[in-house]
Amino acid sequence: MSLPTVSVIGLGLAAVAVILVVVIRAEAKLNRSTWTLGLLGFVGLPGLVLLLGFSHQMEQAGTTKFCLSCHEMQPYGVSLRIDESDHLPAAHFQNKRIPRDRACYSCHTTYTMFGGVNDKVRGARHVWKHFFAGRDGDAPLHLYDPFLNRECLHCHAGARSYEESFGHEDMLRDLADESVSCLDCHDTTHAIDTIEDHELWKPEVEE
Amino acid sequence: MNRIRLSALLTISGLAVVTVSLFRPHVYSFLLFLVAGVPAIVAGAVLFVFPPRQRKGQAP
Repeated sequence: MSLPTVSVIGLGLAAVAVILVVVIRAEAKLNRSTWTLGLLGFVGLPGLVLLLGFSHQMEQAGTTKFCLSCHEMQPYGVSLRIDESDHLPAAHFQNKRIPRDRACYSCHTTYTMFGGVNDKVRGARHVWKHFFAGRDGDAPLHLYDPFLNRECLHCHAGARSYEESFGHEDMLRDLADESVSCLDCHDTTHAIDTIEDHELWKPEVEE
Repeated sequence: MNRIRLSALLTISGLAVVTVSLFRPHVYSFLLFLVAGVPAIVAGAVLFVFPPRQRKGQAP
């Protein structure tokens, strides 16, 4: 059990205890001290629970499990296990170039000041569309914007394996200013359409 | 049911829902938190802090 969950449980139990005391005392008379205690039990502690809970929900919203909890995303999760090294997401996932428990978010967040917030707003729109706008769950998905090198360079920039590798040396500047896309060469990504034609990697120990 | 008891019921239910929603990273957990947990806690707090006015002659 994670620390935020334990904290939420602890604060929640404290709030319940205070609320019960307030209810019992208010049966006799709701005087000023009981009302003040009530503020702690009904507003202060639950407010903290909400803040911590929201923060934890936001943290969880970046996990691979969370992304794959939508059925539209499940083929993308399967594509991470394609057993071929030229498949970019699969190679990153299987070789732990990104944390496996935050695989989607590591590449698909926007590494700008409000990128994370923007991603959450977009995610909320997806949920809204799924439930209320009658989106066809099997319709193909598209990125909102072209995938920028910035997201790749967030990790790869400065890495010797990137800067000194064959092919990269002569075009580092072009890659940095986005005039050439990483995906121009590394163009095999999730390959959703052909996923059934590929062998899938089965790790000995599932994470 | 009097105001304090209703307020307590809403807040405690909200706290329970928020706690349960934290155990599993899932879009339904997130929706449970947002659609049930937050409104219940907010409603409990509002009902406690701003009690509805009683009409003349109505039992407290």
